[in-house]
Amino acid sequence: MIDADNLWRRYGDRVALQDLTLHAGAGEILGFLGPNGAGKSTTVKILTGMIKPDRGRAMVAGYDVANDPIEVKKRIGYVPESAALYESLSAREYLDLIASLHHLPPAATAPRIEELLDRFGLSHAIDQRLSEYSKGMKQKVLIVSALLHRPEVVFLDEPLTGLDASAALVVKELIRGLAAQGRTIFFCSHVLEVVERICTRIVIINQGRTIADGTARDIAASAGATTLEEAFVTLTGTRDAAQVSHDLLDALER
Amino acid sequence: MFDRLAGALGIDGAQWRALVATYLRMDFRATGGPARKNGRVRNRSQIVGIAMVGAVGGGAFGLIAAGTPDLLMSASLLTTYAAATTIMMLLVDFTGVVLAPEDYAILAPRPVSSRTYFAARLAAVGAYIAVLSVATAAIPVLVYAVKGGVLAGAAALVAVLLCDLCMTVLVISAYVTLLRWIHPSKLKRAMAYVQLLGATSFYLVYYLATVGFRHSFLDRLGFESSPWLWVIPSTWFAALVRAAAGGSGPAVWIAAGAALALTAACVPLAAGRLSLDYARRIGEMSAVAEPASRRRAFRLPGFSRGEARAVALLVRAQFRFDQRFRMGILGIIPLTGFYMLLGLDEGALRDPFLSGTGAAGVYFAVIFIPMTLHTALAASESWRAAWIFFATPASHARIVVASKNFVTIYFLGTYVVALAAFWSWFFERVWHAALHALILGALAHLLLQLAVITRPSLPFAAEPHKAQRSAATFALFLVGGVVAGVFPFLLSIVYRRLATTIGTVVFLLLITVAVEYALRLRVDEAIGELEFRS
Repeated sequence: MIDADNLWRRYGDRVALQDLTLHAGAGEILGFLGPNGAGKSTTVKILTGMIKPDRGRAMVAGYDVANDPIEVKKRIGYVPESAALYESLSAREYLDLIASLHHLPPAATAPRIEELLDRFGLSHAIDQRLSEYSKGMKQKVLIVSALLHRPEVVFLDEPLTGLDASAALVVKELIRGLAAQGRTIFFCSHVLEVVERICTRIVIINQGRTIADGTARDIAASAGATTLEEAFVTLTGTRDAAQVSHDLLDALER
Repeated sequence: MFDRLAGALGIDGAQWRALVATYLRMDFRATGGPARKNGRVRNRSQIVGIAMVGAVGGGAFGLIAAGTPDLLMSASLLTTYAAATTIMMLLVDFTGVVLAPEDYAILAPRPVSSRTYFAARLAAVGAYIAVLSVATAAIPVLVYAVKGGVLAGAAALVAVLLCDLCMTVLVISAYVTLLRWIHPSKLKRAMAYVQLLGATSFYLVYYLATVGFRHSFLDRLGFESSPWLWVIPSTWFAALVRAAAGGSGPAVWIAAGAALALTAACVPLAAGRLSLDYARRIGEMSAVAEPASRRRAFRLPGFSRGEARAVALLVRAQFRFDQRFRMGILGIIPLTGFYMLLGLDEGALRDPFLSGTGAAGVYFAVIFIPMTLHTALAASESWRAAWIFFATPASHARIVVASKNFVTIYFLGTYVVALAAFWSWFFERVWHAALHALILGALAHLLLQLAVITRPSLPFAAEPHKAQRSAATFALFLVGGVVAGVFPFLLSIVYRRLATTIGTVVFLLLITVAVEYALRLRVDEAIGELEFRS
């Protein structure tokens, strides 16, 4: 469902992606990790057809993202990291807009919107403007908007941000359920415990390159670590957390 | 039928309808910002506001049309004014009026083609411009209907509408074409100067119309004696009015034909110009920071600690990086220069202590400054960052007062010193220039105090609305013109004797202190209960 080969992308003089290759099949939950600025967002933007790679080729749901971006977008759902919404609309209006953009029949969509929002505990606020929503409520609307049209591939960029514990649990179960239905999940997160728990395979990138690909156990073993977290630190060359926090506390005392 | 036609043009009809409905709905709504406890954010419609101001502006041109025998000349002024206001609105507030930076983040992962997006955005902007055009043309239409017949009245409406829509397409096309060649951050900087030019042209048209009306030179100025007027495209649209009134020569018909040809040419010109890719680039404009040069540590007496220092740092940084704020402030420069030039005959550069009190236009600029500073300070695209005012133990009242004081010293002070230096070159005595500038500066500060008392607001904490600044500017022109007319009379009394001059300075000082005291009380009361909504 996702086949990206040798992707390159530059922003001016800065190379964001260099020769990135990754694949994800139907029913797979692919965890996509990397330190800040590693190229995760650029990869997601390329795979969702938002930007084009300078070099390389990416196929999503059977379509080339550079040549057929509209066909790709018809088949994907995307929860962005930032809660980008038209905040002067209500949740119902916003989801209605998204449904129209996906050509969903209004008669069938209206009850689906109500039902999905109800399952997320938002039925009381369905006609309230999104500007009045909390961060977690907005996140739920974003998740609903990504799934409303029953996409084949779902890109989730930090989907649990702002959600309370029970909503996060619901979303994690939802992700597993979507994968069980044969949908491909592309899951970006910095919360390694969650990635370790729900992803069937993990790709770690650093400085625009793939540095690890496999299950959490395989990656940990190859890095000589016992947990994914330790492996991530080792592979990405992140400074020792204890030392960094010690330095920070020192700076606060000065 | 519509969907089939749209499909033939490469536009998705269903998506187009959904997007246009959403954009229009959003235009009629307000969102977050500071609000009173237990109070909802006010739902003010910017479209209605700007339509009302447009109608009042159009009323002035209705008067000109009624008093000017030359139908073509008065209609040319109307269409030129309408075009200038449209251009200014688009240039000052391009990302707000034409594109929303959030469009890209929301729509890019959706199956919306660039063409559909463009058509929807253009339709929404067209509807917005049409409302403004109809409001502006409303009163002149009646005048032309009486003077030239019903057909001439209808032609006036068509002329203003087509002229405004053509200008919209031309501005959008020019903007997005530039985006193709120039990096957004560079264009952003360049646009500052284009906006200054746009503002200058707006002032030019407005003032030429009012001055021309006052001196009746419109009666003497005509297309026969000044054929260069035909070069201005807005006059071509005015020719539609003249042609509809009947009895016009070939030049008028050719010009009217040129107007229709320009309108027709705008259709293919518009096609394919605006797309999600442009939305992405424009979105980057507000997201990509300018390369920061290292600056010395900032210290200004009176702004070295607490809320005052925080405000000083914020306002200074906003002036460097916030296009809206910077342009709001810099817009004062062409306005002042323009009034200086236009007021030459009325003594704008003559020593007011020796020969009257100069042109009213200069005083108009003085009224404009505090209002501009107050309006520019209130709204920003970074308004969400205002949560910091609510999450720290900072006093809201002190923040408001400090921001007023900072812009007074940093911007108004600079302006007054520059004005004094400029006048000292022309006035008989340097101290005359200094005192005159000081008195005008004190009056401007007093007006700023009154603006803050009337509507206290935390700096950069309100969400900017579509054409908010344009609406405020138009309103100010209308009110400010009246108030500025009183200044020459008052100052002629003040400067007549040294005693009255000194007395006025003392009075201004006392009243400033009193108003400052009232302002602090009022701000404490008015802003203390604000809550942040985002």
